[in-house]
Amino acid sequence: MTDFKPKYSAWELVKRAWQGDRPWARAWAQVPPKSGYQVVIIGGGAHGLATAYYLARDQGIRDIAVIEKGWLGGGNTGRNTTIIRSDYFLEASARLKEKALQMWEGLSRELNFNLMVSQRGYVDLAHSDGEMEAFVLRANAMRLRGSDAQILDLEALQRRVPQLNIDPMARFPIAGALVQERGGTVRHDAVAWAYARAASAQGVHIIEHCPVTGFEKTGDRIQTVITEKGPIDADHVVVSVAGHSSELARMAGFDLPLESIAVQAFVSEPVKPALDVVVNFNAGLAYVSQTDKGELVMGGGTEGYNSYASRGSLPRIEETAARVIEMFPFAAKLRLMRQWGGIADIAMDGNAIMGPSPVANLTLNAGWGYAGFKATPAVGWALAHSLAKGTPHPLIAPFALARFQSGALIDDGGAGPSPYLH
Amino acid sequence: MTAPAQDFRLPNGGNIDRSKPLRFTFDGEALLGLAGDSLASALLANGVHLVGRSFKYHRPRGILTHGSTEPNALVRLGEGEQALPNQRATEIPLFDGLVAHSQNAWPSRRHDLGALAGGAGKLLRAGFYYKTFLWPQGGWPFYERFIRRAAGLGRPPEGPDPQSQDHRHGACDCLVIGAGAAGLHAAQRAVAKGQRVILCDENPYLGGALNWITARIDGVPANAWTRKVEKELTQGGALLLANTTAFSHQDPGVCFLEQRLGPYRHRLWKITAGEVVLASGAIERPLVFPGNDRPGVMLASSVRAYIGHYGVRPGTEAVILTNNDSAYSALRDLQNAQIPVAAMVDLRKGREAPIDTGDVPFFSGAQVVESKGSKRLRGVIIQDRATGTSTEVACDLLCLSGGWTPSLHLYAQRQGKLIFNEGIGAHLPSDPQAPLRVTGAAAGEFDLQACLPDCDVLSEEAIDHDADMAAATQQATQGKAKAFVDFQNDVTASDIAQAVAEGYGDIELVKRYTTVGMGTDQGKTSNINALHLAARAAEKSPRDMGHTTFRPPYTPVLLGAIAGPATGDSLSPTRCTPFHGVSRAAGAAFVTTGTWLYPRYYPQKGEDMARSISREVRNTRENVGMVDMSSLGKIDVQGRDALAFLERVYCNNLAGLKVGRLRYSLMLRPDGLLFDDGTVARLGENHYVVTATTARSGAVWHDLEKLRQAHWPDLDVKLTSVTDHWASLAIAGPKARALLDGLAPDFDTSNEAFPMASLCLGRLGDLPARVYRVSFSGELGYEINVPAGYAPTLWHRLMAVGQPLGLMPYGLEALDIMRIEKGHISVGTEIDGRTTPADLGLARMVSAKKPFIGQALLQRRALQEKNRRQLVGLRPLDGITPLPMGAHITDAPWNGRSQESQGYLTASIESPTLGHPIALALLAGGHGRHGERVWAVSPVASQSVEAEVVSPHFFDPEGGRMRV
Amino acid sequence: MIVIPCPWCGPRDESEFTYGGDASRPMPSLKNGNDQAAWHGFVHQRENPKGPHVEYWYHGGGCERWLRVERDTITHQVRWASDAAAKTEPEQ
Repeated sequence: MTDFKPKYSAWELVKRAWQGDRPWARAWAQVPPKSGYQVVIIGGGAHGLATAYYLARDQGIRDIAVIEKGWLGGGNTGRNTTIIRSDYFLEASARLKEKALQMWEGLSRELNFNLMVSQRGYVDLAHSDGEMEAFVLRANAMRLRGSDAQILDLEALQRRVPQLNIDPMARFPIAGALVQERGGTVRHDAVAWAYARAASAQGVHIIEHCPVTGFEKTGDRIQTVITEKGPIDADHVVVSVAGHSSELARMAGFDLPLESIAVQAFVSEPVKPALDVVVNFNAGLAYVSQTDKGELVMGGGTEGYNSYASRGSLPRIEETAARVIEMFPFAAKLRLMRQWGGIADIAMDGNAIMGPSPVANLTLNAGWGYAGFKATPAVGWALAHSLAKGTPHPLIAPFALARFQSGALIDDGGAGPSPYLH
Repeated sequence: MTAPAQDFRLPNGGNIDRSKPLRFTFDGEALLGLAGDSLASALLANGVHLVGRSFKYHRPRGILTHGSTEPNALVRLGEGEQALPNQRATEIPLFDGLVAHSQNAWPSRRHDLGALAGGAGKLLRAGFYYKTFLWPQGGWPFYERFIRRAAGLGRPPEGPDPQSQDHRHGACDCLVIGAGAAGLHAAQRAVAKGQRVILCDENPYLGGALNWITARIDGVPANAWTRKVEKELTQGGALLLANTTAFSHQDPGVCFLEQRLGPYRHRLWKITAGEVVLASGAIERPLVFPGNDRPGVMLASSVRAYIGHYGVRPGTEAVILTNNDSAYSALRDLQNAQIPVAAMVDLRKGREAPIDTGDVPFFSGAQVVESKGSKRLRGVIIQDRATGTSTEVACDLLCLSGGWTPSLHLYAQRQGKLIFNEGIGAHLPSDPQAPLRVTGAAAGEFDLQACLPDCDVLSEEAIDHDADMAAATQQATQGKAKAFVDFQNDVTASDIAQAVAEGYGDIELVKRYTTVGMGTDQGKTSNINALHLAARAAEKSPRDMGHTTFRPPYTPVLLGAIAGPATGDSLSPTRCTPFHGVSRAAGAAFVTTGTWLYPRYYPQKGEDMARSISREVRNTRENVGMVDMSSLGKIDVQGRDALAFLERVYCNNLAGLKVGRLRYSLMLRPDGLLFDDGTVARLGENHYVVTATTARSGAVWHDLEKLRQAHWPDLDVKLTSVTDHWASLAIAGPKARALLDGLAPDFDTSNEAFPMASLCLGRLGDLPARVYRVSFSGELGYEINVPAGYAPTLWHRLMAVGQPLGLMPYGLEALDIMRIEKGHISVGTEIDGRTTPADLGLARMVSAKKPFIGQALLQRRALQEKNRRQLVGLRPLDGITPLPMGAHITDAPWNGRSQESQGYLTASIESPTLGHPIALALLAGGHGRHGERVWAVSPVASQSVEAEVVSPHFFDPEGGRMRV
Repeated sequence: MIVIPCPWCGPRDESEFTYGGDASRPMPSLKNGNDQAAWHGFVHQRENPKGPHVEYWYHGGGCERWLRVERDTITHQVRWASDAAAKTEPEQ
């Protein structure tokens, strides 16, 4: 167990209020970088921080630096729609997310930080009998792996989500749904903070505002990571930078089968409770849930073209808003309060790339597209295991970079090598 | 019920229309206002200051501002399905019959039980929820229910929007955002240059503060000058849009505006502009000190607007607190309106008042450390910053000026860089000319004469807007009571300090940890104060703190307006085939597939879907049926290199294809996986027509055109999409030839003259037609193509000729059943983006004699493995139990826990032809497993059925029936 | 919202176009039908630059031509657009 000082609890809150607002210590230590580390993890998002935490907790490796170019969780960790679920069809993608879902369930206590893990249910809507058949196929795949899944017909769906518009004359009438009741939402920023605090308590160095500008290589190994805060030697480097993976790979001397595409999300103004599940519309794409603050948070597909502009654009929002209104007509009378975009790196089969790279001591964790957040704990855990043992953990082995040359693809969407279609 | 008099209306002045009283109610109380009022000004005219309760502590809150920056005065506007939550009272133009309610208070805004939360304030500090609710494991959902109910602002709206919201496109040479002095001037200049101009302003009026300041321009009062300029601009062809907020400007030359046409009707403008000029002014900041949130605390500039523009007396005794010169104009305006001023407090030490304060007590170098009152301000305690001497002063109005923040939201959205300016304590554009032109107060120009260089300006307004932020932040950290930075989210100065102390010191983390600036006002009045407080706590210069990202929209925009008319039936265009009308008349039940509305089955009287489909299949196999195939993609390929082109894009050989023949063909993706199937028909020496599946027709067209245009421009080949030009009807069944003959073809239809996989171009009677001998069902069949306009004629003639033959139309479902009986593959089920031709038993079609797209990567190791999932047929062992839809294949019945899946069913039907259930499946190593026993299990249906692996070609595997 | 200066139709809104991905790598000759490395490079590998990106857009709502467009992936500013069949890039 990690030794937190102080440990967070209701009692501690009361005590400190009583003691005249006694200040709390820093959540994670502020340290200047050392000249070198056993492991340097580039990217202070939830994935990078989780990797550091599990390396320290499980593998006994504590000589670690996590270096982040901006602020912790400032990339896709803080830009997603906070959804967790494991309702994937293909074996490899589902196993990893199911492991993550199991880990989420105990993570707040483990990290002594309330991540607001809210398993309020994830409802995926089918719009035809054909889609329902595909959903049954997927639900059965989930159940065969020991996960939870239910198929709801229209009547049961209406009981589950009474606000839903199930008008049979709708443009894309709803036929039923696949529900994963263990799916839900997690307070995204808090995940980065909690892992940072826990990793820091284990002795991991967390270095913010420290962009990487290059690598010094000897043969096929990286010797030194060059940063704006100076050179840092590394025995091993992990690149966990989502949308910027191609840039880092280029610095290290190789290309990746990735394209970076903006995915945007937006929230409405906060209102009192109106929706207590996560719902996904599949005629086009639109997913919506309500935060604990009361905002409806909504997302849709990718921008559809390569982009490093971490912002959205209105044409996509128009489509997503229209679909949300189709599901929940009352949403037409809410106002869009804030929109933002994240840079998703999408691989040629739409799935992640984890494990060895063409550089001997560089481990990749990339290509998560817009599926990365939900997988966080399992990725960190399995990646730490792989780093320590020197061989990919079975959960992440299928995600090897080499699969594009071998043809062992993991294409859940079946859209092929056009990332903008995934 | 009679409405009370407007006791707090000034006897004269203001731009309201005193001849037009308007009735309205607030929390059920009947009140009167005037045309030209905002809801806020009308409430103030009636002495209503308590408007609602705050988000977290449920503190009584009043009206802080007079426009879009308002954090406090949020109301529910309207009733029933019309009602809109979270509307800013300061922005709602008053109309007769307006109904508004306060929010976030129970049982009422005056007596709110939620205020008990305020007592637990110390426990509810920034981020408290991250530190507790940890017990027991999985206990959060229990706490969450209470937190969710306590959080949120207004009541969620109910039902659909009774209004329709529209979209409009606009184009101009120059879009000017903001119609204050600088904006009016920019518009004047652009009109003078002969440009097409659009000028928008978020307020119901143009001119901004010119409407109430006492300046004279070109010899007339500022508001009169504004009306004159408005008229000139309109005459000059400019489009003036009041009540219109430019909320998003991210891409070059493209700007999105929301126009409020009425209280409930909004319009989204998409404007393409040659130039965008940002004249959005500056936002006055409040000051942070303990108890700074009571109703009666108001921005100094807003007090001026309420007096000067709305003719309202916002209080009976005022105190002014400032850290800059601009607030002294409020002193003058209060005095002119004969509102007593009890104290003029300037945080700056050793300052002379820039104007004569007369007999108003003047405190220089003093601060406010406490406020009195609860639902209305009753007084403040003023403390000398040097000596600590305190004075209590009674007042019910406190005018705050904490300096001015240039409103650069759109400039920053457009990726303009900001630099911090120590003087004004806020950011300015680093380059006011790029990426868009910023002018006026938004660019830090507070001198009216400088904003109107062509005019003769007489003004007593302060030119220097430099603010003492050090004094302001010091004041914020005095005293014990809560000093609010973000009024809406109840974020206090000590919350900010705490966030920094806990390591959340980056300004973006301060925002996320404390939620400062994340309310519906997007932190317009709080962000800069938070920045200074965070910098102070971090012992950094505000310059080094950077700033949070400016995210659209500038102010919240109705989702209904964003979606616009593209909802309901217009959510997506609906495509119908040329046979739609006749199919409908024939009683078809339709189904939506993609964008298409397609005949699913044709029930006869008293039939349900299953019976209808079964009859359609049997009739086709026994007599003859017809099915609409018009949605298949059709591409006309012509040119000397047409064959060479097709040879490259299909993986099978086409070289031997003679004129008048056609061939089933497969198209691969460049990575070797199966993309689409269809037919290639050779109509002439250099003339082909190829088909694509309905689902992939758009993508196939794009891909083929891309290959032709971008990669192989040297090939002499032209492609034309002719999907919509031809209506296609397939007739199938033993009597299909007799049916075709009944249409009087001008060609020989005998099996010898018109064999399988050939085509005839000719006439059916007087109808020009292309007839292909193909079979989707495994029966003798023809696909008849006629120009789309002849579709109904063809249908009616077939029905007439076919009646004695037993002709019946059939739909998508029967078509699907017959293809499954034949073991034909389909896009979406077997062609799923993960299968190769070999997986589906079509390896022999892949040519080894020619190069084609996908050839190299199809040879990848993993795509050649023996144990890949391969297409097989399944039959229930008992011959009668249906194989569960969506089942997986295992080696044992469902064990209730977990099991390994060896594959899955892609289709499962009860075959009307064979009289028993069958299924198609993708099974690991399936090609070598015919005869094996497996289990088809569906955990969600709690079903396990034992089955035998068989060939997928269930019916007439030799294909004899279609060759007769 | 991107505005693309179509060489045939003039400046048009992105809604008239369909994106077609990276246009920086030439397609290998089909004659090397067995060259897995060359096709892997073309089909999968990307520079994925932060900044100027040469890409395909199809003007389906206009001239029905495929265009090569250089667009900045950070600002979405389009620098030029030419017909995809054109051999050379236009003068800047």
